[in-house]
Amino acid sequence: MNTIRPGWLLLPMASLHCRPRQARLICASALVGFCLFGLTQGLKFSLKGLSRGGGHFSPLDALTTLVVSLGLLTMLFLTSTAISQSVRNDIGDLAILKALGFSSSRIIFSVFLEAALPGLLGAVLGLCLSHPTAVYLLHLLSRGHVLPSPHIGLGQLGLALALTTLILLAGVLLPALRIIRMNVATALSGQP
Amino acid sequence: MGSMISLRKVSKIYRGAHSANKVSVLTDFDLDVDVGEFVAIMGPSGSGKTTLLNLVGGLDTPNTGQVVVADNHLEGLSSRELAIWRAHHVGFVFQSHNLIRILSAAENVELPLLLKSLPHKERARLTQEALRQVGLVERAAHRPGALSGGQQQRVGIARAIVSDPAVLLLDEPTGNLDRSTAEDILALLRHLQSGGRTVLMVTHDQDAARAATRTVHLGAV
Repeated sequence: MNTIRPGWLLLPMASLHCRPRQARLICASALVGFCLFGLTQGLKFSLKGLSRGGGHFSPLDALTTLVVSLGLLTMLFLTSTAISQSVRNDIGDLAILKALGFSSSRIIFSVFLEAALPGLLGAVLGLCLSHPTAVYLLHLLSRGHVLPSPHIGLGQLGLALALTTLILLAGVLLPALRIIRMNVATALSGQP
Repeated sequence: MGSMISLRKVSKIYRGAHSANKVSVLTDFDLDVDVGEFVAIMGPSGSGKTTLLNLVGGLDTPNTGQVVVADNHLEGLSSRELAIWRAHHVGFVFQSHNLIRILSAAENVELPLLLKSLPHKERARLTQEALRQVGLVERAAHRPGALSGGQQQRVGIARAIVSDPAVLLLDEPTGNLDRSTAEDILALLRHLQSGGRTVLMVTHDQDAARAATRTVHLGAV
């Protein structure tokens, strides 16, 4: 008799089946969103260095904020859709877990965990990719001018991680409501 | 012997999309099941057999009346309290097995033990013991898709008994099985009852009902 997997992994597996398609979608959207975030922050740093000073809120700030916001909103939409789809597909299995005595909060936590792992991985990869991309873009844009190298500070990295967590939490919100309001008896009977 | 399950004037009404579409499934229903009793619930389709099981198992709540199981008044518990209560007092066996496809037989059986904060070795021991009781130790690593209907039903029973609940609730446990496999399952249930468990089984099958110590008939709606 062999139980290969450790206990802490069984619940996330049972609740969402580690769906590779959903995980890839969450990871890819986080990667693109935070590559964009890192890229705009890096470029802003370099271009501000070029203009030296300037106003409190320049058109450059407005443009980067807009681009980053759109990227992160897209990430939120894709993450929420991916998690909702997984929960909808596996509502029967989630009902089994509830019938066995797992609380809604425990099931929601495992659903969050399963979205958080690819989401954080994508965000970190996106930030790592953003630096060489920003250097390359600056090289193309500079045309002989000497520009400061793009730089992302610790504050911006912290902000990126906080934004990832917030987006993932917001993405789990609607599926969590569905899990809380689920009628176990109805879900087990296979009715919609 | 004391009463393990007690229902007093329980009514359950299902409401349709329109308020006029009400279906009254149970009306002022009373039931007492003693500790260690094996009761079969019979009745035509729509008479409320599965609803009764869901009410006793805390998966559904009555519109009126009292449901007391293992000295707990279920109608007063929140959904969180009901989940904790289910984990400690009730084992479910469903007609359609309801095993989780991605997990092996052993992992399916192990699931209820994750709620008990037991060390891994103890969980593995209890899982093996439950699988031994249903005669499936050698199929522990197989996923449900690789098991026959009877074997899946036995995995479902192992999952229900692994945490040693006082009450076993079974919905048509022999409904999809051939006669010989059904006999094996019923013999197993009688064995579990002789060990002191209270068993409540919904069935359409007269032969299955004969395995019980008492049969309760529900009328048509």
